[in-house]
Amino acid sequence: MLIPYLISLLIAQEGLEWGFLGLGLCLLIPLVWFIIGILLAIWVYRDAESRGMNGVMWLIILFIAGIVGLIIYLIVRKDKTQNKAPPPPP
Amino acid sequence: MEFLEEMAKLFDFIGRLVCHQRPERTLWIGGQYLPVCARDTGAFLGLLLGYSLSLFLRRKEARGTPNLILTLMMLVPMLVDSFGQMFGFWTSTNDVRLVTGLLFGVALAPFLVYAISLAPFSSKIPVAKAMLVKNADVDDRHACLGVRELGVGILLSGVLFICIKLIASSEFSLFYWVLSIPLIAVIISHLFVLPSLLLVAILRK
Repeated sequence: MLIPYLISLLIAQEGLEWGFLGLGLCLLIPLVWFIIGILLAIWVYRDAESRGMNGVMWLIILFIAGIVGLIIYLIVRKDKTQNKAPPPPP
Repeated sequence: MEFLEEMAKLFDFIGRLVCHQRPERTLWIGGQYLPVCARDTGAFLGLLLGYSLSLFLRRKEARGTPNLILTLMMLVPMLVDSFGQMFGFWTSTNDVRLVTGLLFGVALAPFLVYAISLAPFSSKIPVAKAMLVKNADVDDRHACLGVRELGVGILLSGVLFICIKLIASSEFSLFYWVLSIPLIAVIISHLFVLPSLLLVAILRK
């Protein structure tokens, strides 16, 4: 709703050229944030799987809780050394 | 005077891009409503404080995240207050909205800066290099912003809250501009400038 409102306002006040500029910006900015979100989700999934944690579960938590989910993940995630096999007995 | 009125209208327009601007939830300062509601006022001003912390108080040699527990504790109150109100458990007040927004912004900014520092293209981001953490490593135990630094942020939030409360309901128009100009600058930087910088960095060879 916001995007059409903004575009119509720009066109009415400034003309068609500004309307197209506004449309471009309104599509570009959410797109950039969306791409960042996707990259973050991929990182969390891969990081969780590499630590023996459930990547899908953390993806879901990230989707629901957003940045709070990300911070909780960073706090509770296992150390990578925990996944290594214990050294053989002498 | 006409110029100032036009500027105020422009600020109002920019505020409308990000905020509902409901009068009962917006601070009245300097004879008019601020461009955004109390919660957004707190959050955006908090972001400004948080970026200042990242720039001036960050431990330069540390590569780890900002203190995560304290960051979480500062983010959660605003989320609890917002969702509690949204689901009808309580009705918040402008004071609570403002202070929880400030804490949220102060905590979010350093975390956002750190997250951007982790990106492979972060060295190519123009302008922001001084703020980014070099060789950021999430596994590093040395926090780039520890309890002390974030504590300074909390203290500054409190000071800012008291200052805003002191000038609230004032009719002195300068106070409106003192708050609105940084608010609009932060909104514009997050809506347009930051995504543009990130895009430039991603597209740079």
